Parts: sequence; structure tokens; C-alpha cells
Amino acid sequence: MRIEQLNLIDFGMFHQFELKLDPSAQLIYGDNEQGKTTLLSFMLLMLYGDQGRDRKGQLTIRSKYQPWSGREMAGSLILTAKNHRYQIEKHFGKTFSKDTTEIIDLNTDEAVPLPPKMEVGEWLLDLNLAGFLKTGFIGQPGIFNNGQGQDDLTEKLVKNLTQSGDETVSANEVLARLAAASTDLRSKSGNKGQLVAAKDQLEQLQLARQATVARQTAQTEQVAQLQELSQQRQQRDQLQTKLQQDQQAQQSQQRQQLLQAIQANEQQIQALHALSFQPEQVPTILPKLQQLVQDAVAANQAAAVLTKVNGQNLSLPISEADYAATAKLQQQTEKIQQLQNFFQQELDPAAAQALQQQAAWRELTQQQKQLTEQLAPADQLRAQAEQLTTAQQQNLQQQQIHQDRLDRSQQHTAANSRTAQQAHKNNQQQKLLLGGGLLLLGIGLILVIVKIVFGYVLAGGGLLLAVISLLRRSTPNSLVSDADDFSEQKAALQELQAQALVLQQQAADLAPQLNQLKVTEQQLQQVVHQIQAAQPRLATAWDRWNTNLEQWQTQLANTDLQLPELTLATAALTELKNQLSLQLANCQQQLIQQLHAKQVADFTTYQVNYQLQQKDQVQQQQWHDLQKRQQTTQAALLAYYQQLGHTEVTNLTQAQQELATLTRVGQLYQTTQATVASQRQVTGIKASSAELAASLQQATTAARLTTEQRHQLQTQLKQFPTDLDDQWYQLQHQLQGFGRSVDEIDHDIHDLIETVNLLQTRYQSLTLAQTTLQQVIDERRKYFAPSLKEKAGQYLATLTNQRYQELLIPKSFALEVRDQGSYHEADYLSSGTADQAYLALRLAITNLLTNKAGQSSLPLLLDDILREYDDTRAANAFRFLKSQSQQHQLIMFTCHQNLADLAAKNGFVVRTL
Amino acid sequence: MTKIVQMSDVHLGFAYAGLTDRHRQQQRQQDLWQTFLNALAYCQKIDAQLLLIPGDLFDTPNPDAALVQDVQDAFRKIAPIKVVIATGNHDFAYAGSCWDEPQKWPANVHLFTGTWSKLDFPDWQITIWGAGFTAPYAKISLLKPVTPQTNHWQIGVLHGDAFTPESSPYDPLTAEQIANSGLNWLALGHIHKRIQNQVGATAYAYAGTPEGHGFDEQGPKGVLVLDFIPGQTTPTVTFQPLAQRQYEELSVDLTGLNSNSEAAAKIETMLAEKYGPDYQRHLYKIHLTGALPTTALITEAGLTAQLSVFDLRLRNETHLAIDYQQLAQLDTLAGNFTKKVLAKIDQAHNDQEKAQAQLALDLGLRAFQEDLTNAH
Repeated sequence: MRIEQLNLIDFGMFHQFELKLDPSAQLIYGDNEQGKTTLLSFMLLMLYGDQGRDRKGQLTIRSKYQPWSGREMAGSLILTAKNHRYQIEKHFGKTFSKDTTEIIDLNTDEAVPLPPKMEVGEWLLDLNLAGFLKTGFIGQPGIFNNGQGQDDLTEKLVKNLTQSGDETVSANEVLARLAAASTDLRSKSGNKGQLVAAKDQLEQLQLARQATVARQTAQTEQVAQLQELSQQRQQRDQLQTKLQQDQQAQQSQQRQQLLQAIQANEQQIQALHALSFQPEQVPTILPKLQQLVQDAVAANQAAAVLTKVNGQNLSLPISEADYAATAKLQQQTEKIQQLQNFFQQELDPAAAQALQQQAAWRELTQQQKQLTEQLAPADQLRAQAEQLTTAQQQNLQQQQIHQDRLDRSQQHTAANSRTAQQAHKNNQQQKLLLGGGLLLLGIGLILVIVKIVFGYVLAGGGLLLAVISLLRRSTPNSLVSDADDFSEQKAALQELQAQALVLQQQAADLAPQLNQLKVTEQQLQQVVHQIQAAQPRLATAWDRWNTNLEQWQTQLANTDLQLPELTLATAALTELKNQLSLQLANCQQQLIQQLHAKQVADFTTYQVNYQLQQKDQVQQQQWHDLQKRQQTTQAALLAYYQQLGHTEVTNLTQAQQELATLTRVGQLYQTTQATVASQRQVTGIKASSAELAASLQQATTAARLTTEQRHQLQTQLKQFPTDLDDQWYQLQHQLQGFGRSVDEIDHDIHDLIETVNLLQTRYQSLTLAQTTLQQVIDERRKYFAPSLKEKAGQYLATLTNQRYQELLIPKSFALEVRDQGSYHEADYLSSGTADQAYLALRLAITNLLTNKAGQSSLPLLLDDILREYDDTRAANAFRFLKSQSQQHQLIMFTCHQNLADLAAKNGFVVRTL
Repeated sequence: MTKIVQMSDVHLGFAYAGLTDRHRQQQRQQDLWQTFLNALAYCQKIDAQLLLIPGDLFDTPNPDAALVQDVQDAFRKIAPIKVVIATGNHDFAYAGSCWDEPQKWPANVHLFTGTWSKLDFPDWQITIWGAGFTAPYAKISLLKPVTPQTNHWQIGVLHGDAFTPESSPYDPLTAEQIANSGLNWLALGHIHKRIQNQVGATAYAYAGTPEGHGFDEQGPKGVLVLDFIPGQTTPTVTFQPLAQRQYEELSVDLTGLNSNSEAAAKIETMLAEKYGPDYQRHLYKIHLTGALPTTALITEAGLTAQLSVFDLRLRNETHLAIDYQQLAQLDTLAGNFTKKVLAKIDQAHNDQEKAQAQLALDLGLRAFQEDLTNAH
């Protein structure tokens, strides 16, 4: 497309302003505020309608360029596109919808309709506004370096192009929309997405269905259980009905019995009335009458009995004094007899025993005394024996001394040594025997002294040993001393041996006395033993005697008897015995005399006679009392009858007859009344006889169960569980919780499955669209990115006179230029070089995008893009741009005079505003 | 001639939980009750002698006591019309159930709540046989053969499954059983769709539910009127629509339409043509099809807002009005994408894959133009 002419009828500062354009390349020059931007905006508005806000984002172009004349904004273009020459006329209303566009094919002078919802630029350039701004419009240099190191517009452009090759929409945006839609199905605003929610709901429904099916299966069992329980309940109810019927029959029977009892009671009431008694009086009158009659009869009977016993006469009257004196004699006689019996049976034997023991004791003590006297010289004899023993011991010691001396003398003689040793040995034995014998003798004597029999044995043994030693010592010693000392010693020894024999003879003389002494001591010991044995017997006898004596004195104290003092002496005992017999005889004699006086044989008869006499007197008094009582009771009885209105009763017999009748009727009345009360209490029936009779007429007569039958029914009834009803109601309750039916759930499942399938298909389709689109993006990137790099590199080389030949567009979109074998980010190059790189990139993009078959060439609107260039670079740029004019119509704007000059030199048509 | 009305699977007490709106649920429950009453009134209107209800009168085996009372009262009011009810799998009889108290049911109501038994109407020369469910399942057939009688109608009332007897736990009824039943007519319940058939000498029919419960029960619903004419072996059957509302499913082509209002107008026109001026009372599931211009602004939400019907469920199956083949020729991202997806459509192994790829193409191209999350 190439624009031939602009006609700004009314647009901003312009009114009826025409500007013819060169189809190749031109530079529109003008100072600031001369309308360059207004012309640029006019062209954009003519091609694409409303432009939205300006670069500052404040006013729309429509509002910004309202005609200063106040007329309607309008204008026209003449252009060539798609081999046609068109005139585009536009009238701009207040809003986009008020705009009118007219297209006239100047070749045919016919109006050409613009397709609906399509702008002129879209129709002629196959490019929407966004696409045109990214390709056909190149802004001022320096925008690329906007302080952030990147140009947003270029970034988006490059991004889109490198990724998708489509300038109108970001491939990522499309992917994002698909992904968002896909995500939307899974989750939305933190909640479950439609698909997930539907699946969850479906799962829940299916679970609910399973649960419902399971519940229905369970219900089948529950129904069966319920049926069984119902049968059991029915059976139980039948049993209960039978029992109830029986109970009802029982109640009927009870009512019948009660009615009968009431009727019987009423009969008795009538009978009581016939007897002129009120039924309610019976409980009080009857006992009272009975008591009165009983009292009267008893009084009569008692009087009759006393009448029979009265009048008995005794042979001799016994006065109280007589009886007391006689009784005293009797008592005294009995006491004397008791004392006599006690004396004979207890006291006398005890006295005899005590006397016997006392005599035995005295005899033993006498013997002890005599034997003790016999043992008086014992001490002297034992002293003598002790002296003898001492002398013998001393003699033996001296003999030993002399023997030792003899032994030493013998040591000098070797020949006699064995003999001497033998002698010495013998002497030793002798000494030992003698010493032992004497020791034993001494001990024995000591023991004898202390009255131990073993002492005698020891003494005897010791004496025997001493004798043996002396006998051995008497054996001649054949030792011969060869020294004088030996002889002396031998003589002394012999002398001592002779003395020992004398002492031995003296001891033998003393032995018989010692033996006699020993026998006496033994006798004394025996007596002592007997005394010791007699002591307890004597004590026992004395205790018995003393005890009996005390009893005797006690018994005696209860009597008036005067008896001699009792002592433990035979004479005293005899005297007392005689006194007892004598006093007993006296008492008995006096008693017999008393009894004879009353002509009785014994005291018992006397006593009976006396008691009979006393009783008779009492009965006499009683008879009188009874006579009086008889009259009183009968009077009271008749008075009571009178009080009751029964004046016909005038004596006891009539009263008794009347009472008998009343008692019979009253008792029957009370019995029947008690029966009625009892039955009412037991049965709880309170109905009257009339009510009972009425109910019994209506009652059906059912046969009563036998006790056994009732027991059987009750046993059967007990076999049913007590919680049968609870079980039944529980099952009923469980069956009530049916919830939703399977069919209903199936309805929902059916609908939900359809929804899930739709959403699932949508989800899968979105996924498929995403993956396919991603594949396309990848493929296009492989194709477009290298082409863009190559073309931009070529343009950069031309613009920089081959200084820089390669341009890299990394994913960060920070342009990098290759210099001396390595890449440098454009930001780090000079601003002029960066602008050259930017221009190269934009033109490369534009050419790549507009180099499509059938696509109209694009007019390039270049807004002062070289103002940062120095003259050399600007001249290069103009040359390069001029080369592009074969492909694109170039419409360049600037406010710099030097650029206008350079443009003119490089083949640009320069128009000045 | 004896006139009998057959009505089954009313499912009184059905909650209509599938409807998300509570008010619409309540309205549908009222509709169901009204249809039931209308059916009874219709029996009176045509002077029917008998009303046969072969099961699932109630939706649950333990319906609300007030509902049971209302039903009993309603039956009482149509006396002397005899009402014969056989319990179904939904309202099976059990100890303590509402059927377990016969004294509470009006004298003109006879219940089949157990094994196969009969009820004689000698004046009409009719014997009605029947059996009832006593549990959620009846895996063994409840139908027993009877002896045919000349000039005497043998009619069966039963809830059962005559379509999948080989696997159904709901009183399976084989064709052979029905043929050998000895019945002139077998009034069946359980299948909610109206079906009529004859095997051997026995004709049978499902009246279907008188009021639909969901979109799987579409079309007119009502009761069957059976005219037992002397001399005929089977009754003359007439369908009487009674449903308050219908469930309907249809497709509407929106090709070339640009806005919701255009689409709504077209749909309303079509509904009015198909279902009459009273079309708004029904429930619809509409599949939106056709090619929409790329600039069309039609959304399900916008369309739903403009369509005034009782209940509406839209299925958007439209696609963009784009010459895909021409677009595929362009060397642009969209062109390349179109070309690639068209290849997938051609290579699809089945219709599902094809439809999925077609939708992917449509969604992909829409994504070049708009945010898909707000589109539908």
C-alpha cells in the first residue's frame, strides 16, 4: 500500500489541508508544533479508527485532535493497495460507533463496503492496529533505551515474533489462556474446579449408591428379622391374651364370689335386724354381752363350787400359837437331826483323821529326835578320822621325800639304776594309791558329814586305796645304797612306814563307829522323809477338820442349842455326841407331846390339818364374795340387755339363749363381712352388689385355665426375650432410615456422568490444544528466529558500515551486538549504536512479517528515528532506508534541519510544514 | 365394558434432589402430588371401575405418615372406585410399614403385600391377581400361573422387571413366565418408561411414571386407560398424559448467530413450535450446536439468563465459523495450529477422538481471541 495524498478536512489545527506524498521515500520536516505528530496521528486514525490514548496515556487521539474550528472531525486519504486506487473518507463522531467510513474505488468510482467490524488498515494490510504499530510504525530513537534497558513494545514484538512468528498476539498469552481454562476445570480461586468438583461429586454419589445398595441388602435381612420378631410378638401376644382371658375369668369368678359373700352378709344383716340388733353394734355389743354372760356364769359356777366345799369340820382346832410352837419344835428337831447327821457324817470322821495324823506326826518327830541325839558324837569321830587322814598324808609326803633321796642315791649306781627306777616307780604308784585313797576317804567323810550315802562309798573306796598303798609300800625294797645317805634315808623311810602302819591301825579301829554312824544317819534320813510325807496329810486332815468345824459352828449359830465347845479331842467329841443325842431326844419328846395333843401321828398331818383349817376360812370369805359377785354380774348383764332394749331377758338363762342366738348370727355376720372385705382387698373390686350382678350378666363365661396350664403359658411367655418390643422398634427405626433411593441417585449419577464427560472432553481438548500449540510455537521458533537474526545482522552491518555484522536476541531480549568476536549488550554500546541495532531489528521484523505472499506492502511511518545519529551514521541510515523504499513507502518525520539536508542528498523527497 | 386405569411408579415423596434450586425441588414435589390427584380425578371423570397401581406408589418403604394419611384420604374420596395396590421395591411391605395396618386403608383399597393371591370381582367378571414386595429385593419371581377362564378376565398386578430378568433382583419376569401366566393382562410397574407388549395370550404394559423424575424420563408421562370389552382377549389401551411438566432434550443450531439474544430467540421459537405455547413449564436439556462467528458473543450464562423456562441445562457444542482449510494455509501461529489440529482430526481413530480434536481446534482458536475462562 502506498498513500498518495492526505486531506485533513478538519483535524486538529488543520482545516482543508492537503499533503501529497511520494510513493517512495520522503521526509516531512518542520519545527516543533508545526503539525508533524498531528499528520502521523491522522494517518493512524484514518487507517485504524480510534487510537485509544496517546503515549502519555491521557487523551485519546480523537479528543486530542478535535478540530480547532469546532467542526466535525473529518478527512480523507487517497492510496493504492491490492492493485486498486481508493479514496477513504471518514467522519469522526464523538465515539467510535459514530464514525462513518466511505471507501471509493477510484478506478470504478464505486463505493466499496468495508467488511463489518473491520478497519481500513485491517482490510487493506491484513494487519490489525497492534500489528501495524509493531511493524509499520517505528517510534523515536531512545525509546529502546527507556532507562530500563529495554523497550517494552519491542520486547513484546520480538517475543511474539521469536516465539510464534505472529505479531498480533503473544503465543504465551494464548497458551496461558488455554492453561487457565484447563486449570479452571481443576481448581478455581482456591476451590475445586468444575471438573474436579464434578468428579468428586460423582464419586460421592457412587459411594452413596454403593452405601444405599449395601443398606438395601442389609434391609432385606432386617426385614426378615423384623418378620421373625413380628411372629414372636404375635405368639407372645396370643399367650398374653390367653392369660388375660384367664385373668378376666378369674376376675369374673372373684366378682361372683364377692357377690355371693355380699349376699350372705346381707342375709346376716337382716337376721340381726330381726333380732333387733344393728350390724354395726355387733363388734361392740357381742363381746360385751359375752363378757357379761361369762362373768355371770362364772360367778354362779364359783358360788356353786364353794357351796360344795363349805362346811368341812376339823377334829381339833389348831391355833396359830400352837402351830408356831409345834412348827418351832419340828424345826428344832430337824436342825438337831441335821447337826447330828453332820457330826456323824462329816465332823467326827474329820476329827478322827486329824487325830490319827497328829499321832503319826508326833511319833515321827520323836524318832527324829532320838536319832539326832544318836548322831551327836559324829563330829568328834569325823575329826579323828580327818586327823588320821592328815597324818597319813604327811607320812606319805615324808616317805616320798625320803624315797626321792634314795632315788638320787641310786642314780650314782648304774647297776642299781633299773632297780632304783622300779623302786621309784613302785613308790610313785604307792604314793598315788595312798594319796588317792586318802583323798577319797576325806571326801567320803565329808560327804558322810553332809549325810550323803555316796560319801560313805567314797570314803570306803579311799580307805581301801590307802590300805592297798600301804600294803604295797610294805613290800621290801631290795635297793642297796652304796652311800651313807642312802642308809639314812632308808632308815627314815622305814620309820615313816612304821608310823603309817600305826595310823592305819588307828583308822581301822575308827571304821566300825563310823559305820554305825552311817546307819544312824540313814535311819534319820528315812524318818525325815516320813515326816516330810506326813506333813501334807496332816495339813489336809487339819484343813478338813477346820472346815467342818466352821460349818458346824455356822449351823450351830442358827439354832438355839446350847452345846459344849467342840475341840479336837476324843473326849470332847464324845461329850458333844452325847449332848446332841440328848437334846434331840428332848425335842422329839416335846414334839410328840404336841402332836398327840392334836391327835395326829406326825407333824405333816398336823401341818395339813392346820392348812386345811386356814383354807376353809378363806373359802368362807370367798363364798360370801362370790355370792355378791353373782348378784352383781347378773344385774349388770340384765341391765345391759335392758339398755339394749331387750326387756324380755330377765334371767341368766334367757340372757345366755339370747346371747347364743346373737353370737351365732353376729359371728356369721362378721364372718361374711370379713369375707367381703377380704375379697375386696384381694381383688380390688369396689363395685356394689348391684354393679357386680350387672357386670356378671354381661361377662362371658370363659373356661378357667388349670394351674398347670397357666404355669405352662407363663413358662412359655418367659421364654420370649424381655426386650422383644425394643428389638422390634429398633429394627423399625433402622428401616426408617432409608434415605435416597438407588434410582434417584442413579438419576443424579446419570446427569453427572454426562457433565463429567463433557468437562473431561473439554479438559482433554484444552490439553490437546496446549500441546499442539506448543509444538507449533517450537517449530516456528526454529524457523523464524534464525531468519530474524540473519536479516537484522545484515541491516546492522549496512547501517554501521560493516562495523557490526551480527545481532543476537537472547531470551532476556537484551539485544547483544557482536564486536571483535564477542557479544556485548546494546546498553553497553553507545546510544547511537544501540539505536542502529534497534532500527535494524525493527526493520528486519517488519520485512519478515510483511514478506508474505499476497500481502500488501506496508507504509513505514518513521517518527524522527535518526535524531540521535551523527551525520555519518545518519547518512548511512538514509542510504539504507532509501534502499528499503522499494519495498515500503517511507514517510519520515523530523524537526532537525541537518537530517532534512541529509535526506535530500540521499534521494528523499523533503516536504516542509 | 370395564374401564380400568393403570398407574405405576408414582414415587410419592420423591425429593428431586437433582435439582439444585430448592424452590424448584419443592415445586416438583408439588407437581408430583398434583399429578397423583389428577390421576385419581381422571379415574372419576372416566367412570373407571378400578385403579391398578403395580408398585412404587411411594418412593420409600417408610413414607411420611402425613403423606400416607393424605394418600389414604385421597383414595377414600374416589370410592367406589376400587384401588388395587401391589407393593414395589421402593415401598415394600414389612412388619410395621404403612401397609401393615390394613384397617387404616379405605375399604375401596385392596393391598397385595405378600405372595401371589387374588381378588374376585364377579360382577365385572374379573379376577385380579397380584403379589407385593416384602423386601428391597425379590430375586425370585413373584408371578404364578393362573387358570384361564372363558368370558372372565384374569388380570395381574405386579411390580417386576421384564427386561433384564436374567440379572434383575427386582422380581425378574421372563417372557416365558408371562406367556404361561394364564393372564389376559399383566399390569406392570418398575420401568418408568411406557412400554406395551404381548407374549403368548398375555398382554402386558408398563404405564411408566405419571410424572418424570429426571432427564432419563423424557417426554409425556401419564397413565394407561384399559377398556376390557367383552369378546376381546386383551383390553384396548389408551395413554392419557397427566404430567405437570416434561423433561425434554433437544439440539439447537446457532450457526451464524452473534449474540445471546439472537440465540435465545431462536431457542424459544423452536421450543414453542415443539412443545406449544406452554413450553416454559418444562425442563430442558439443550445441546447448542453450529458454527458461531468468531466475533459472536454467546455464553451459556448469558443465554440461560435470557431463556425463561422452568429448568435449563445447556450443552455448548458449537464451534467457530472459520474456514479451517483456508486458515491452515496461512503461515501464522493460528494457521500452523489449525493445520496441525486438522491433521489430528483426520487421523482420529474414532468419533470421540475426532470430537475431542475438533473441540481442541475450536478452543485453541478462541484462545487467540479471548479469555476462555470467561467465555463459558
